[in-house]
Amino acid sequence: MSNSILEVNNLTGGYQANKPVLHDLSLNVNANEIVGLIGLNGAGKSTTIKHVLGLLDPMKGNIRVAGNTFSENKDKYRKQFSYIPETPLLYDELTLWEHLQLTALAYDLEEGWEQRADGLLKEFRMTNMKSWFPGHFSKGMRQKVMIMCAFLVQPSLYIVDEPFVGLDPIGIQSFLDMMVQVKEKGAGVLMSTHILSTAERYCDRFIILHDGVIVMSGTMAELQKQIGRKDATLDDIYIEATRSEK
Amino acid sequence: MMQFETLWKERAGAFWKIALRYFRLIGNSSFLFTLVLTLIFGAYYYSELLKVLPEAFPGIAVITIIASFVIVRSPLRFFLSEADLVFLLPAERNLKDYFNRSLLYSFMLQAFITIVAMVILAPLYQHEMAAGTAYYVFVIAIMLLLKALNIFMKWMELHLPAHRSVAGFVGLRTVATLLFTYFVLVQASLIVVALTAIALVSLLWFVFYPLNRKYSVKWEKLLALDEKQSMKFYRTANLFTDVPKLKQSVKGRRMISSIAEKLLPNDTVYEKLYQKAFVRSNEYLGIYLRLAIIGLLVVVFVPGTIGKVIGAGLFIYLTATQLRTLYPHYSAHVMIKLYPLPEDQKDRAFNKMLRRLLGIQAALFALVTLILERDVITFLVICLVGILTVLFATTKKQKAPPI
Repeated sequence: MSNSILEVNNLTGGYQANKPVLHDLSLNVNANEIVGLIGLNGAGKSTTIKHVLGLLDPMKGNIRVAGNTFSENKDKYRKQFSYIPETPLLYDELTLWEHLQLTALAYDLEEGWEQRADGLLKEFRMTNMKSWFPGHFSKGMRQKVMIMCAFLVQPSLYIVDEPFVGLDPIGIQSFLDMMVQVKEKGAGVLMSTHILSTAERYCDRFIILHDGVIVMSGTMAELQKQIGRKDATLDDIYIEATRSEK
Repeated sequence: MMQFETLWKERAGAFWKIALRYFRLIGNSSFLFTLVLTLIFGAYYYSELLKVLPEAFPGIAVITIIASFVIVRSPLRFFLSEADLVFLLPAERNLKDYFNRSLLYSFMLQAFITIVAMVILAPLYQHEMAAGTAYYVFVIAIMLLLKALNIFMKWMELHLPAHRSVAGFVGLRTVATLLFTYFVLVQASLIVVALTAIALVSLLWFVFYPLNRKYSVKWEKLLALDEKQSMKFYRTANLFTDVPKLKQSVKGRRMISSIAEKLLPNDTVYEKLYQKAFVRSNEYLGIYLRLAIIGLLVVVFVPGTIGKVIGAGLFIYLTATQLRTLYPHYSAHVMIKLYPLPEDQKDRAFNKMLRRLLGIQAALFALVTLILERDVITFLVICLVGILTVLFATTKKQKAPPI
């Protein structure tokens, strides 16, 4: 699987050694692909994401981003992805523009990032708020800052955790459009979300997680085939998948 | 049904339980040693300074201003929480006792501060007036009475609605307090004192008291005041140990921020972050400037080369211990852990900034002495001690914060 950008192999992981949250998890995200990570609260989505980010060490198995594991080469590993967290994590002391500046500095972005940053500000209608501090932002605006920083980096992998909450409809559309754009340019996206109708329209493949185990995975058509209903929506499949597991 | 009488006790008790824990930590820290050293140093030069004080020195004016400042500044403490806006608001009428307890509590705490301030001022007063201890005890008693009056007035001010400015009211009680304090200190004739006292009481009765009747309690003001005070406490405690409760308050400070970008290291991610945090968040900049100014005063006014040198070294070291609380500022931030950065960047950036800041301070101390004293030896010694202190204070390995 040479065009896999993210490869998770037989990952067992969690917070305590005697109580793993994830059990023997394997998944991958290819180039030109958006993969939806779906699961109930507590299914292990965030834990999976933390492992991928390198914030947690695998107990068993390994994770490769563009061929590197975290322990082999931290910098190379980290450079490959950007992350949009569920709750926006901003620096209280930095203005909006300084967040973009800092991101450019942290990822060592080449010249020309300023034009792209201006474009992003325009797209998310935040040009006028360039010198504002996060303290004055609403939840949606904070989320937009995270999204802009992530897209500014132009990595090969995007890790996105529930991006829609608090965003206005135009913001959601801009975000989705840009996701499709980076996907067509060759990036991979791993997106965790509860908004299944949106996921159904935009994701190429789905991974349904339940109690730390992958219960179903595949494209929409494959999933529909698995539960034997051709016209099933993602909601139907999801409920079916989590119910059938004892 | 909740008991409002016990509610206050529970709230105050909960705060003091946490406070005592922090006091214990403060007591154990090495900073206390530096503070005691500063106190001894201060006390010694205070008495030295009194001996050489010129005749024309306006001692009474200084005492009046300091005492009035302590008395007029009356932060009240209510132990309210944000949820009270929802839960206690309907019961406002039953909370009279709750608020009275808060006022009494605030008075006791500030009475203590007033007494301490007056005791510190006592030698200066004896130097100026030679009035005897008994009279000074009487002065302190009057000051406490003034304090109580100011607490009431402040409480009534807090009833003012947003569209009415408090400035006039604060001005009135400031002037009244200044005058009364001054007359008592200079032992003005009984009639003058009595007249001022009557003016004060009528001020309370005719100007301030109607506010209480006319307007309702302004909950959000009280909450903001509470918040400000508990943050102040936590910020002080944060100088000694890591306080997780500390909320950030951020100020833009455009001018200083752009100056700092040129003056302080600004090339790596951590350098940028530390620099911005230093300028814009909490009180770091305030602490630095305050210590620099006090240090400067010490270096200027303390007589003799040895005193100046010790003062300079002490204040540089003090600044270093205070600024070290900036080090864990970003350690809970997740995004920064995801950046592809070398591991030692954080320590390097922090030490570099600390060295720069302390260096500026040392240079300032040395230059000012050179200009005022025109003494190259003192200048060089302060430079040398400054450099040594900076090196000593910044080579210490930064401690990871307790989790």
